[in-house]
Amino acid sequence: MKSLICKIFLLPLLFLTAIFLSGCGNDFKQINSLDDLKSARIGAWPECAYELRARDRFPDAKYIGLDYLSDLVENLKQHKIDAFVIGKTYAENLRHNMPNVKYLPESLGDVPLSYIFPKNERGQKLRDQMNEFLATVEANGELDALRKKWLFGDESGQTFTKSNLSGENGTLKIGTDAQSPPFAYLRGNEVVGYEVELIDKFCAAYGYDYEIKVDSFETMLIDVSSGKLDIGADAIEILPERQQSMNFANPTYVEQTVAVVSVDAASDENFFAAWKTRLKVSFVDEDRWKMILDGTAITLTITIASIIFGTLLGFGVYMLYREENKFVNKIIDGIYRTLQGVPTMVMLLFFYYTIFSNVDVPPILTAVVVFSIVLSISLFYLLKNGEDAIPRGQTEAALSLGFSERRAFMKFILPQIVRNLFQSYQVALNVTLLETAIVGYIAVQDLTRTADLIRARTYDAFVPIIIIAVIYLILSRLLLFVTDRIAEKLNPKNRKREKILDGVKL
Amino acid sequence: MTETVLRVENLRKEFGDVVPLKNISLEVKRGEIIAIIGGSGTGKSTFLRTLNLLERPTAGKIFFDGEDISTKPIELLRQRVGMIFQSFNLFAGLTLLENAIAAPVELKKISRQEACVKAKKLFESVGLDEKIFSYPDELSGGQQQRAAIVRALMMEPEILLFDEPTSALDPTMVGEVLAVIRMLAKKNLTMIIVTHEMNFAREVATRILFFADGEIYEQGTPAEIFDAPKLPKTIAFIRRQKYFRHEISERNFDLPAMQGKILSFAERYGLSWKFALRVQLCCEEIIFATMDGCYSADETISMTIDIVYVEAEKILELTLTSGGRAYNPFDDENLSVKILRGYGKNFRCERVDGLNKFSMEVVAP
Repeated sequence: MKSLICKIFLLPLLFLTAIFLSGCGNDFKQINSLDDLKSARIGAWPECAYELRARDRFPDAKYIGLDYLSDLVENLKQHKIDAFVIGKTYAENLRHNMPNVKYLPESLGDVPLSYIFPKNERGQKLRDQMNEFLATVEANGELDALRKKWLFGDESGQTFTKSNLSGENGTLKIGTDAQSPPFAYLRGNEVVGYEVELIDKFCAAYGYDYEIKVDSFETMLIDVSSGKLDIGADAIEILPERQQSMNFANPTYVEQTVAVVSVDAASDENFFAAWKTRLKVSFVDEDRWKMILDGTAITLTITIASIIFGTLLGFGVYMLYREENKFVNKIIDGIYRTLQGVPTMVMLLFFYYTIFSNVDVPPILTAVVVFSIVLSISLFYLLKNGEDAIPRGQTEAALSLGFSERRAFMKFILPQIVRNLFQSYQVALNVTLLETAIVGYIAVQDLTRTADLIRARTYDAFVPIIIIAVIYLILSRLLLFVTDRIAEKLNPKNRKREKILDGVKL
Repeated sequence: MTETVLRVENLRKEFGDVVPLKNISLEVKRGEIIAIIGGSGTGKSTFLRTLNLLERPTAGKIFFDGEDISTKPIELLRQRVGMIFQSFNLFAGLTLLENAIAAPVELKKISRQEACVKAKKLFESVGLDEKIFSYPDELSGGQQQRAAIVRALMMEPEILLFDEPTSALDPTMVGEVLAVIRMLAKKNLTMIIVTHEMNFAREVATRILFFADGEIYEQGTPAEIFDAPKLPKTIAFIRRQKYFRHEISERNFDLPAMQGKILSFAERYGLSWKFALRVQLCCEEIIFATMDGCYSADETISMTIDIVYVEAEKILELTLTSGGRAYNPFDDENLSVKILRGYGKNFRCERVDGLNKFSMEVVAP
């Protein structure tokens, strides 16, 4: 009863505290003209062309690198930065969605944007075809029409459906982080935008089909340069250092650099109405709940598959270890001790980029492999310590009755180990569930990644995070609930006499 | 009648530099009950454990029913050799019934029904029929050991090995386990028992092996070993078993502690309660008489009490050795001496090397 009360009161309290803290601002400095930026805190994507333009103009300002547009917005809202620099198109798009930001109209310099291709023969050929295509559509006015629709048009007109493509010349793998509205972004579960429709038209013209892979920006860059992807479409700024490892097509658009600043506009809406809107935007609009549901399904799939395979693997390895072959055990010990010292995240990237880089393994499978291995390590050492903790005498008793070593272990010792260590195992399972939150790094659209994508669209970091926090909490409790039922079954003393006798009459 | 069940030839076991078993040869006939006695660390348990290969011998051969056991699957041999451990080793998480039927059902493919009925009968015979649905951790040590015996019997072994079956038990529970083994002894089972219970060994065994330094140092019938041991180490061991010594160096020494030790000594050899009290009283009186007679009030005292029990003749000899001045307590006519004279006989007093030595026999009531 006590614990129930704790749960009921503690959770909302926690969230209210978080909400309150999120509203606490830093020093606010109103920026009215570019001069105010000279010694300001300026946010930008790390190492992006917009930042370079800004640095030319304001060398004394303090620059803060933030990965996502939504992070830039959130930081600006909380006055952790005074302004951020970005392409004018983004800024325009932002201004429509966010009432309390604006951008200073004067440009800080041009930034050409384009597609990227791998530096290999195929990439070269695609790049040449793309350049040819761009020249054609430039000349016949199609490009202008697209720009009008996506970059300067009204959101109501920005619709797109994939063309019916023959794919006679193969299927192109297109990578994007889908966080660059209006160039390439997610609407509901669909990737749309200026560069997406342009690719669609390109494919139609050159007999390709295409599939889009949503991934983090960094991952996408690496995948293109390594040839895993054919084209990167993300309003990518043409930078000299990028040109060394990948091919750029001619610019699809030349962007202007502008500074986005916040306007101290008091909201008319009351607290609850504001929250209702925020929840609606993050959850209901564009059927985002479907995305969240899909993300939950992915997270669950990875977790359950990893639990099954990890348990089998850990148990199998331990059984192998019990054979007491010195050589084999040295190898097992060596591998597990090494893997123990590697962060799961690093292992994930390692598998993704090295071991599975040349094989066509879906990233979700890579994730399952890695989490299975991590769980198997925990399980292996649990079993090892568990067996050490059980007096050898019981095994000897079983042997003296005529059981083989393995049968004695399976029948008499293992059930005790499982019983004794089940709670530790439950913790390991829960860790597996929560650790899957990092799979976004290898292009798996799990729950956490979904929240990233939603806040990239809505510029509201807080609500999606709260939503997925609640979902993770529910999943975790669910896992605990199911495993608790198993734990109950494991206690032999819960058995009824009839069950023990199993039909025998005495 | 005298068929050989087990033959051991030149068995040797080494653990690195330690050699717990040097060279052991033994022949066990069907129906024999062999008790192995000896000090700790003399290889008794190791020997027992090599017999069903829980320890692999370093050298030597073991024949079971005439067959070299190293040539057959060890699991099949073990089904025919039962073992009872010092620490019971019942399977946790299984009821007594399940403990008992696991091996016959899984290994001998006896039906569960048949195995359960058989187990129930056996549990009844050891007084545990009320406990067949209990778990090991719910039972006393004595009950657990009785259940372990049932578990071993379920396989109908041709030979039973007992590895100090009562050493881990509370003194109050030793009796119930020994009673069960006695019962088995009457059923003509072949048994090898490593034990520290000398009376039990003497009563139940047909042959006693005395182990010393990893070898069978002396063997013989219980009467031969306990009453007339021939070799020096056996004599020392057997004597020490019936020997009690206590040293006193202070005037206000811990009398209750000494009395307690005398009591447990008496218990170990089956002396009656009355006899024990009599010995206690004699010790107390002779100590205080000597204290007054040999020492002045401020002198440091040094006394030793020795008690030897000669089991065959049921004689208990009490000796007090003391420093101080020459004195003969038995000459005095005080109350202490009156008590001593009432309970004992053969009083002697000598002075050797500056020490007084008083001895007497305490008569059994």
